[in-house]
Amino acid sequence: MELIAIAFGAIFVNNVVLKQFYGLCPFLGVSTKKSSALSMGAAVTFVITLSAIIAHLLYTLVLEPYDITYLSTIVFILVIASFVQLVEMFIKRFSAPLYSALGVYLPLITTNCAVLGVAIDATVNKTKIFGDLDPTVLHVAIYAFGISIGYALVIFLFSAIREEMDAYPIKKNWEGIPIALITAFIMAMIFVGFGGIV
Amino acid sequence: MAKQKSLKSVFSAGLFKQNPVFVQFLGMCPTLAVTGSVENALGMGAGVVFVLVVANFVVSLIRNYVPREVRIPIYIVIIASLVTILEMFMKAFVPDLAASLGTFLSLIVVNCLILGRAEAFASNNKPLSSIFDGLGMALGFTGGLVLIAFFRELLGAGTVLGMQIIPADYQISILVQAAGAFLVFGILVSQVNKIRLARMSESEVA
Amino acid sequence: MRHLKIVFTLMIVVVLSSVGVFAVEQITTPIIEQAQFEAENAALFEVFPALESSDDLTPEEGLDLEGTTITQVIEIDGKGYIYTAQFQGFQSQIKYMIGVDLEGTITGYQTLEQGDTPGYGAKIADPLFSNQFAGEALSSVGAGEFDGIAGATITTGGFTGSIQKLADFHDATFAGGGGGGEETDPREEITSEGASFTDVTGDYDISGTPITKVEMVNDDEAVIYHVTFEGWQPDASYIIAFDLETHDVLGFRVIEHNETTGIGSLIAEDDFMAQFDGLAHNDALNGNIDSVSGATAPVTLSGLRDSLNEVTLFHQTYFGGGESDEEKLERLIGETFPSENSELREDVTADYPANESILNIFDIYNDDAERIGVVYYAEVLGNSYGDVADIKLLLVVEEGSIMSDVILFDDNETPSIFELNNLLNYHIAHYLTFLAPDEAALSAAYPDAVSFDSVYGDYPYSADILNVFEAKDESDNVLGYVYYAVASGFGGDITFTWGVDNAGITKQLSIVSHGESWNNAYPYSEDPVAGIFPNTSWLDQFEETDLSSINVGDIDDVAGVSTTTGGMKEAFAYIIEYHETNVGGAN
Repeated sequence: MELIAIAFGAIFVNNVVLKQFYGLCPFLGVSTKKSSALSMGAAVTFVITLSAIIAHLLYTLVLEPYDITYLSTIVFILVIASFVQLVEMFIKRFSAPLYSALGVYLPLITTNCAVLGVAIDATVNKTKIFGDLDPTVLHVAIYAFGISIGYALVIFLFSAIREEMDAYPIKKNWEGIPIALITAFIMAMIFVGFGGIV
Repeated sequence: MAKQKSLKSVFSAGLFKQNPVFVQFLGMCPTLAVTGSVENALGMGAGVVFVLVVANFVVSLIRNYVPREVRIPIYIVIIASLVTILEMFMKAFVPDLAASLGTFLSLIVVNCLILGRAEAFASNNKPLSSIFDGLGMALGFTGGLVLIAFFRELLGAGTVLGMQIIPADYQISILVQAAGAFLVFGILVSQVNKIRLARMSESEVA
Repeated sequence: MRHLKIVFTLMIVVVLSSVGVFAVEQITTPIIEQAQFEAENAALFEVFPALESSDDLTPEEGLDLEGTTITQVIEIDGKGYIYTAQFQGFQSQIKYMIGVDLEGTITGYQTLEQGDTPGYGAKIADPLFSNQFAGEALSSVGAGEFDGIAGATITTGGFTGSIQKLADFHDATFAGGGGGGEETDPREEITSEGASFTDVTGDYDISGTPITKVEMVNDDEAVIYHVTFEGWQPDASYIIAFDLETHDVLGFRVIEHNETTGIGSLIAEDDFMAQFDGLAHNDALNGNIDSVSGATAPVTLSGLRDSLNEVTLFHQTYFGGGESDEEKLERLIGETFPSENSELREDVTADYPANESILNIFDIYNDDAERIGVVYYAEVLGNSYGDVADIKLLLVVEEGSIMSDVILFDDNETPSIFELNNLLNYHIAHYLTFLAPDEAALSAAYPDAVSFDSVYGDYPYSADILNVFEAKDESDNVLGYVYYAVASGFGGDITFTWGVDNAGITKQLSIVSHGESWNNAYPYSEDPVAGIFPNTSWLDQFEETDLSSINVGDIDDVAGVSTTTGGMKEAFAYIIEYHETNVGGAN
C-alpha cells in the first residue's frame, strides 16, 4: 500500500513536470512529436531510475557515514553525467533516427533537472518526499520509476496535443513556446485534481 | 560578426536580445518553479549571477589548457563546486531563502544557461568579456524571473515582496500555484514575441 | 601524452574544486548548524512559552510512535510535552509542532514545514490557523473542535487525523499516568468524582510562590493548588486540595517527580499520599507529615514540607483558615503544660517591666495552686538580617529550671540567638526562679550559717553557676556565700555547693548530685574510704583554704578519673574568678 501510494503520488500528484517543474527544457523542446517524446521518455526513465538508485546507495553508504553530505551535488552530477554518456552512446549506436530526432537535447539530458532533482529529492531532501519513512532502495526505486513514468506520460500526452495543434492556425506571437506553455497550464490544472485522491 | 564584440554589446545581449528566459528559453525549470514570489526570484537570480559570472571567468581562464574531450566534465565539476559553495553560503547566511528555493538551489548545476554559456561563450572568449557575458546573461535571467514573479505574486497572492497590495478577495491564487506559472510565463512570452515580431517587421521594412 | 594531459587536467580541476568547497564548508558548517539549532529551538519556545533554556530538550526514546504521525516527543520535566508530528497534506508532507502542558492544555502550535497550495492548504502556516490552539484542551482539539481551512479539505483532513492520533497518544501515554485506558483525574481523586474545576489562577498573585495554578472545585467547595517543588531533584509537582470550610487538607497527589526510586519516590506512594486525606490545616502548615514505607528521604521531605508551608500560608492569605495567634498560644501552652483547667494560667505581664520583645508573661499553676512554670510570649527578630520579620515564640521556663523550651509559632523560622539571650536575661533579672539545692546541701557547704538567701539576681548570670546564696547567722548577719554550681564530670553533670566566708576562706565542698564512678581511682588512693566519691581526700584540699591561694592550674588531675577531676577543676577555677570579680570584689 505504501509503495502504491509512493508510485501514485510520484506519477500524478507530484508530477515531475507539471508540479515540480523538473525537466522543462526537453519537455518543451522535444515533445513536438509523439515518437521522439516516447524515446525521450524511455531514456529519461532509464537514467532517472538508475541514477536515483545509485545516488541513494552513495548517499547512505558513503556520504552520510563520512559526514560529507555537502558534496552530494557534486557527486550526483558526476554520476549522472557518466550515465547520460552511456545512454547517449547506447542510442547513437542502436537508433540513428532517434538520435537525430532528439538532436541537441540529448547531451543536455545531463542538465535535465529531473535527473539531478530526483536524485537530490530522494536523498538529501528525503523527508520532503517520504516523510518519516527512512527509504530503502526499493522505496527510492519505486519513487524514481514513478516520477519517470509521470515524466514520460506527460511528455507523451503533451506531444500528442501539440501534434494535433499543428493542424490549426495560431497567432504568430503565440506560436511555439507560448502556446505550449498555455497547454501545459491546462494540463497542470487537470493534474492538480489528482491531489485530491491521495 | 566581429571577432571581438564590444563589452557593452556582450553585456546587453544577455539582457535583451538574447534574454535567456524569454528568448532562449534556457533554465526554464527555475523560471517556473521559483517565481511564486519576487523574493525567491531575486534570491535565485543572485545565485545564478554568482555561479554564472564565476563559472564563466574560470572557464575562460582555463580555456586554453582544457583538453576538448573532457571539457564538459570539467565544466560540470567547476559549476557543481560553485553551486555547492553557493548552497553552503546561502544556508549559512540566508537560511530562509535557501529553504524556500529548496532543491532548485542545487539544480543551478544543471541550469542549461550556465553550462550553455560556459560552452558557447566562455570557452572561446577572454576572461573579461566572459565576465560581462555572464553578468549580462545572469541579470537578464534575473530580470526575467522577477518579471514573471512580479505578476504571479501580485495577482496570485496580492503582494509584492511581501507587501499586501491587492486584498484577499481579489486574488487569483491559481497563479502562485504550479499551474499558474505556465500561464503567466506563456502570456509573457507571447507578448515579448509580439514586440520582437513588430521590431523584426520594422527592420525588414527599413 | 594526450591521455596524460587529460588525466592531469581533470585531477587539477577536481583537486582545486575540492579545496574550494572544503574551505567554504569549514566556514559555513558551524554557522549552518547554529542557525538550524536556533531555528529548531525557536519553534520550541514558540509552542511552549514556559520553556527555559535550562530545560532538558532531549527527545524521549523508546516510545511506540507507530501509526501516531508523531515524529518526536519532548517531555519537559514538570511542565509538559512538545510533540512534533507530520502528515500528508494536499501535495506535501506537513510538519507541525504542538506544546501541551501537564493538564493537557495546548500551549502553542506551529507549522514547521509545508508545501501545500498557496492560498489554500498553505494557510495551515498562517497565524489565523496556528493561533487558535493555545489555551484549548488537546482532547477537544483532538476531537475535531477547531476551525479548519476553508477550501482545503484534504489538508484539514490530514491535520484532523494527525492531531486526533496525537491526542489519543498523549492521553494514553502521559495524561493517564501511563497505564492507558480510562484513568481518573487525580483532581477528582482528592476531591470528589465528577467535580468541576475552574481555573482561577488569574485572580491570585502566585508570583514568588511555588504555586503554578489555582482551581476552584465545584465553585466554592474546595480549592486545588498545583504546586512545584524541589526535592532531591528539581521539578517535582503535586496537587493539594483544601476544604474551604474547615481549611483542612482534602487530599494530595504527586503529579510528577524525579526522586530516587525507593527513597524520595516514597512521596508518590499511596501510603504516603493517604496521610494527607483530612490532614489538619496546621499540620500542613507545619509540615507534620510522616515518611512512611520505611524509606527516609530527608531532603525530599524537607522540600515538600517547605512547599506545603508556603502553600498553606498562601491559602491562609486568600481563604483564611488556620488558627489565630491567640488560639495558637492557647494551644501551645496547653500542650506544654497539659491541664484541663485553663484557669490555671495567669497573665502577669503587668507585674513586670515592659520589654519590647515580650508580649505576655503567663504564670502557670498546677491544681494545688503551686506555680509550675512561666511562659513568655514574645516576638523577636530573625536570625539573619534578611529575616527581620517578627518571629513569634514562647519561651517556657519550668519552675526550678533556667530554661525548658523555646516553642516557635512557625517552625521554619530561626530566631536571633541574641534576642533569645535578651529574653533569658530578662527572665533572670526579673523572674527569680534560680535553682536551689536542699537546705541540707547549703548547710553542708556552710555549717555555721542558719539561713540562706539567694542573691544571684544581683550578679551576672552564668550557666556554670546555678545560684549564689548569702549565708547568714541567727541575727541575719552575712557570714559568707554559698555557690551552687555545676561541673561537667565523666558520668554527666556534677552539682555541688561550696561555701566561702567574707574573708575569702573556703568552707566545705558538698557534692549535691553526680553520676561518677570515682572508684576507678581507688588503686591510687591510700585511703580506701576517701576513695569513694564524693568523700575523697582530693576534694579536701579545696576546703578551709584561702580562695585566693588556690591555684587550680597547679593541682594535678587524679589518674584514672582525670575527666572528673579536670571538670571539677574548671568549675572551681570559674567560681574563684567569679567570686573575686563579682561577689568578693563587692566587699
